[in-house]
Amino acid sequence: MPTPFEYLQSLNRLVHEPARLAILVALSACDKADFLFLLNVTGLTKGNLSSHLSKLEQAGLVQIEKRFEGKTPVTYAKMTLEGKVALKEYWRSVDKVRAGVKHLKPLRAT
Amino acid sequence: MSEQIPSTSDIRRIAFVTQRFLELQGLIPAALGAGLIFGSLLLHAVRRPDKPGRAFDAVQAFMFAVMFIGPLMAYLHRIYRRTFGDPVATWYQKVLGGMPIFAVLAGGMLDLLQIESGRGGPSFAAIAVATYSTYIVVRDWRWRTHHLVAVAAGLIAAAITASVPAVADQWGTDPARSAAYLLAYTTIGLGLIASGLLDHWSLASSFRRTMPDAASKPRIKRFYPNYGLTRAWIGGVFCLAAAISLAGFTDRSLPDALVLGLIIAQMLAYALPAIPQLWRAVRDFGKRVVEPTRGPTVDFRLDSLTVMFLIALAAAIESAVSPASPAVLAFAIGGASVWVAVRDWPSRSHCLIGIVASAAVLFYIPRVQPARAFAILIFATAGSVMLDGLVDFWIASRHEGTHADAI
Repeated sequence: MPTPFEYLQSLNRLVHEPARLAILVALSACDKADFLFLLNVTGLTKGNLSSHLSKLEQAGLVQIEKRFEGKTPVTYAKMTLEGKVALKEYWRSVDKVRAGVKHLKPLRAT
Repeated sequence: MSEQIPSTSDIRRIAFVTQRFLELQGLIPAALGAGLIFGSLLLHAVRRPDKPGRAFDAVQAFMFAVMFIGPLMAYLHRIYRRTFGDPVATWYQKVLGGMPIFAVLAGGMLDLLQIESGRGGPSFAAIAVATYSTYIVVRDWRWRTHHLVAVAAGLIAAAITASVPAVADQWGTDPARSAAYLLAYTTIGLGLIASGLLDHWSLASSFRRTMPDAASKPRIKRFYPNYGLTRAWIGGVFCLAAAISLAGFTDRSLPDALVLGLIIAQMLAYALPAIPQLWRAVRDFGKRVVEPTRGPTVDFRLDSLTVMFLIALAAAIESAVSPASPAVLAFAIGGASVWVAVRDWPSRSHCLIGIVASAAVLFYIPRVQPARAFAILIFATAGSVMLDGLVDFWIASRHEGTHADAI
């Protein structure tokens, strides 16, 4: 049976990064969200949010939809099916790490 | 703006706020509550001693609330999206988001049927509020415990209406039942306002927690010409309706004239701004709707929310305890005007008009009958809203585009 550390190693690094995890959690809780909402809810800067969204889009976890409303560009992000699976898998791994850590006993000093 | 890396508790908060974004737009149920209290207060004020109350009168208070909230809902949704962004809700979230309003409206309709059939029993609107709020408390325990206020309000309102038996005569005259329904609607209104404002605060503070710079930065008031003009129009219409009632009717006919005048004013207030919207809808038929990105955003300062609640509380006390004179409400409105003027000095110094209006009302109230006192209150308050809107419009026209963004 794998140890908690092995589960920890198997965590999807793309999802595990806190800023990207925050974006994915927000997108998993709605149909899609615009850039302003993601900016407000995650507290990231515009540049950082844009860069994380690009990484998630490249990995196929998020789909970006750009359009113009009047003269203003609006960006919506939507989680793909792969994104949903990846997030679900991530939480499952985290649960396994948590469950495994409970059984660990601290080393006694001799 | 500095950035904080989201922590574990942030992840929970992010999921909660995104899931409940529509439900946490608390200004919408709060506006429905304000409509209920205003309707009850108005019907108390215009009651004639020679004409005992009918249970059906309470339905008029309810209809005022419905007319008030209808057009306001779309506007409030829009300014929430403009302030915080747009997470597109799933169909399930949309259903739950509209549930508080739907529950109260459906309950009110059942109340109407109950009154018409001459049967007693608790108000269905009260039961709906208590049931829905209990569901919220159980589901979102820790996050939205404040809905216990609405649970208590619903239970109290149900107990009030259940304790008074229906004894209507062939004309529907039943003063005790009428008073019980009005008190119940006032209680429900206050409960909706309290829980709605706290939902609104909870939503706003959830966003601000991750934006320390935005929270600590003093907000610069931004003026919008159209917003000022709309406020001036709405205030002007209500002011005119009250003025016509005051000048053209005797004490005996004033109560009926005031109710009719306010209903017409409410329809006109919403109808005129709807004409350009209708024109745009016809012109852009079949095209995708483009929402204006510039415009007013929601106010989530704690002191503003406290002032709103205190005005509602004053109106509820007036409606429940002393319906003969709106002195407490006039005093609360005057106090709120001073607070806003002092807080946002000098950009909103013109809000001091409100205290002049309130002082005039307090001077006249002891000298006139309740309906006339209430008409004077509406005339003065709506007049000050109109002047405030005109001044905003004037400032916005002069300085358009030079103010920094509020958020």
